[in-house]
Amino acid sequence: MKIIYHCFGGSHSSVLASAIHLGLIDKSRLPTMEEMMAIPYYDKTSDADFGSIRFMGIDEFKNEIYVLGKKSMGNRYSNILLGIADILGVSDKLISVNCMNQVNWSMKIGGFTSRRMGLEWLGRPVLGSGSRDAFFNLVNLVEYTRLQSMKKVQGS
Amino acid sequence: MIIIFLATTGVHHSLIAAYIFLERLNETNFKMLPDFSNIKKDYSGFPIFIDKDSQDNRIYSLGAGKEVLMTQKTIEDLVNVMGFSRDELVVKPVRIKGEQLLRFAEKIPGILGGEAISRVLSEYVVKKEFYRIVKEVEDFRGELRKLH
Repeated sequence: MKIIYHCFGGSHSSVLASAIHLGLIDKSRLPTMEEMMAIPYYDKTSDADFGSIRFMGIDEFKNEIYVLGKKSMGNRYSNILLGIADILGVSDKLISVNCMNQVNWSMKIGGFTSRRMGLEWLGRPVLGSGSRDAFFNLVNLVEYTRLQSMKKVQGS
Repeated sequence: MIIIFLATTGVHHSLIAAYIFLERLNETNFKMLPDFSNIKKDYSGFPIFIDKDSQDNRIYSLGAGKEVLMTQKTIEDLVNVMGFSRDELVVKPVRIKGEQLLRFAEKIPGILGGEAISRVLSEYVVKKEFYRIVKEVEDFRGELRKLH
């Protein structure tokens, strides 16, 4: 199974969700900024990364986990991904997870300041605070996704 | 092979390109095509199946809003991630003048006559750009021949 977490830039909420999924970060407590910055791609992407599906790792059930930045394409992008998988005949092997619902204003403002304006010193503290606020919502999203992947495996 | 014509909307120029590719269209009858300017179908985001060509290739039309090239990159990456080769699914972006206008026209609320305005506008833009679409499709046909 391939699981793609996607958000606006593929740099914050989707990366954090994939790190939670892969156990790269402890899901039972709030992470520190240093721990989040140690996650590959967290607040490190550029404009060239928009639209690229980037590999994050393989979970304990052999699911491949990816992240994707899709700008403001919303749920339509999930339908595009699932539609393409469907016409390839592999829709049962793909889960597309939109992380945008878990993104708060601090993450949006902090992420924009850090990535788009290039002011990391200003954006990162705001982003870190927002990421911590959203953390347990992302944990819930990941748990739901893991259940969904188990159901899909059992169903196929 | 699967061929996807990709544009800002999936029910205007990419749809026309798909029918030109299938050699089932001339300049005068594009308004009568099934799903032409079908806004509801475009909103779903799912690729629209058009038909198979003489070589059994499956032809689709897809709308991606303003992010056509980003979506092309994502689809090509997805094909690779899902274990398929680039020969199995080809994406052809179709770009015309006024394509953003078509996208905006789709957003006009129905109560303000959105669907009718969108249809009139799309007929005008597509008619004006028809030969550019034909040229794009012919160039693409040439690229496909080189590929095989």
